[in-house]
Amino acid sequence: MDNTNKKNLKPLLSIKDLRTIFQTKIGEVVAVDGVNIDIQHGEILAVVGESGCGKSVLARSILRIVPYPGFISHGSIQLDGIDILNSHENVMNNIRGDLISMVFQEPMASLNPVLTVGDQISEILVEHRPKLTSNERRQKVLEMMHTVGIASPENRINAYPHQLSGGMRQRIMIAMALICGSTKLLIADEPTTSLDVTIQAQILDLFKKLQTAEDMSIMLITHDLGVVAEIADKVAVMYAGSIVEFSDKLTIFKKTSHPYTIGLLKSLPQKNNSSSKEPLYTIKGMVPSLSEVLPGCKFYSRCPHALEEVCLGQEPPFEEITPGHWVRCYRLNIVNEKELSDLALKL
Amino acid sequence: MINKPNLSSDSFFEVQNLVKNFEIRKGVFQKLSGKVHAVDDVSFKIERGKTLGLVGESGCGKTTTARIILQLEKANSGRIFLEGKENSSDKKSLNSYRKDVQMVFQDPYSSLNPRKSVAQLIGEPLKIHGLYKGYMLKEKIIEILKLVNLSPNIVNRYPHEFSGGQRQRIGIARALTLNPKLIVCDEPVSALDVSIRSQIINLFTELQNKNKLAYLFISHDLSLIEYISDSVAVMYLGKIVEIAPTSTFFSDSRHPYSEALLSAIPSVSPNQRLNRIILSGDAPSPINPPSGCRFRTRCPIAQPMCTEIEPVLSKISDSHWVSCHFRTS
Repeated sequence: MDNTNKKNLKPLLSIKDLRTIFQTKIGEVVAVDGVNIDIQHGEILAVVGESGCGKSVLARSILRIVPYPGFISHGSIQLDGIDILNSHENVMNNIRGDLISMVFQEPMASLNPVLTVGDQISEILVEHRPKLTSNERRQKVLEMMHTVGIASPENRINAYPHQLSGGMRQRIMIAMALICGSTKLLIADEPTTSLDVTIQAQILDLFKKLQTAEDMSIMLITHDLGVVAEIADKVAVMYAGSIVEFSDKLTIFKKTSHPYTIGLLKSLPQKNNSSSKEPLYTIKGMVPSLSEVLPGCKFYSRCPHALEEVCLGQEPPFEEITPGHWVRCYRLNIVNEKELSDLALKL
Repeated sequence: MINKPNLSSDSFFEVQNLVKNFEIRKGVFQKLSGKVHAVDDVSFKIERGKTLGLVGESGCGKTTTARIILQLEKANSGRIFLEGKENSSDKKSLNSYRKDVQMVFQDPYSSLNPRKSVAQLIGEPLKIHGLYKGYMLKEKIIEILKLVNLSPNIVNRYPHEFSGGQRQRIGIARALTLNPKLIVCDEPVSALDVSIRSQIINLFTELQNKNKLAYLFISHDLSLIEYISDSVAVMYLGKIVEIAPTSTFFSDSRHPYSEALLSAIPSVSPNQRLNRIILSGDAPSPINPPSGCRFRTRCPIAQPMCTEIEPVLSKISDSHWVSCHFRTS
């Protein structure tokens, strides 16, 4: 990445101290708890975490589409000078699908089964580019279908979603997200989870191409560390609503610091130990439910280095340990050297 | 069948020439309009206490193969041998066969009956086969729960009270109740979180070592397959295109489809970028599979002859078989 001339530019998206809460019968569920992230222009940020860690709610908060009974209680989101959280709903409607677009996980569930894919793509143009004639729209839709790698778009434009394969449907979703041509931030929520590996490789390839060709920033939400290593520039690791580690990709994989990230990487089945079949490393316990109130460090109960006096008091601060590498942990100097060198050997 | 099938088998578990077509019927008179060639001439062996990994894209027939092995689906032709005995379809032998071959399903949320307690779920197979009753049944259930590292206190709880990982443990416990010899695992960890996944994988290997279990392990996660299996079979559009011991497969795979699959795994080491082979397009429909070699439409090394002549599985070494015209020597 050529970051030298981009460094002094302001970030495209800047999230400060964001807090999203769901008001439920059993009490407040804090899905996103004090998240700070910047996304630079033309950068792919991967948000990694397990189910229920709040990564999808974070994405929806950026578009202000958090479903009821959730709401954003605190924080600020700035996109290129626009204050997202204090904008009028009409302004937001213009931003959604135009400046910021989103690709959802399950393409079959997010496409309308009774409309042709061509209609669904051009619907966004009708909304955002009302001056185009229907012929121009059709032309744009065909071009976009071609861009996202659909062979012979003329034959596919009148197809219904069920007539297409999973990978094709995901391409249609991406075409819908990009059709306005002015997308600055694409949020992709687990875009390849329901796809086969060979199709996943195609879609990731497409993301990379779009990123360079359109100078677009992508926020990629995933739980697959392989996908992260493949495509991301920066990585944010989320656990129970907070970001616990944030850095560029190489630092995350080579100088892993938070015990949770280390645990995730260590628990992956790796090459070379297939003959010996030693047991895989496991993170003890379970993913906590967000409705639990966890005092102090949220990873305390599962952390191998936890120390009651230190970790159970206040939530650890999110500190910059080396330039650009942020970690939320009290026990950083304890996370032992051997563990890290083991990990380095594995990768 | 052209080649005469063997009348017996000396391996622990073997399937020979399995074929399964699903008929597509259309119109008022339910006229036969086509066939889905889901499984087409599939043969493989599994040794006692070993694991065969079965990989392939969705729709390639992995799950149908699993269902045929469990006799949930009747094959159009083909034979299944367990410990040298051919499986026949009369009720008595089917019953004892099903006792020996069990399954763990992919989705722990939909594979457990929400209205049954853990004791009922695990006790059901024991009751059906009339093995335990009353007090003994309870004891046995607790013994099995301990085997999968679940607390015996949970016997009266219902599936919705558990997390995904715990549910999958219940699913595994259910499969273990009858002391099976072979367990078919259809994507057993793909619905679980990363940090829970390794716990369940460890449970699988532990149980295998303890009970000499054989697994047919279906997954699309090749790094998991590399870790857990002893040999690997790759399926494409209903056919096995390559079968090899795990170490051979990952170092010296021959079939272009296997190569593409291997290069498509996103690796977690960010420095080590392979030269990707990105297959174009999707897998063709199994209703009208391509003539000749079924992979030719996406194959980077396809030649005109691939359209006409269908390659057969040919031997590279005793345990390594490939079906490709150009990659056998």
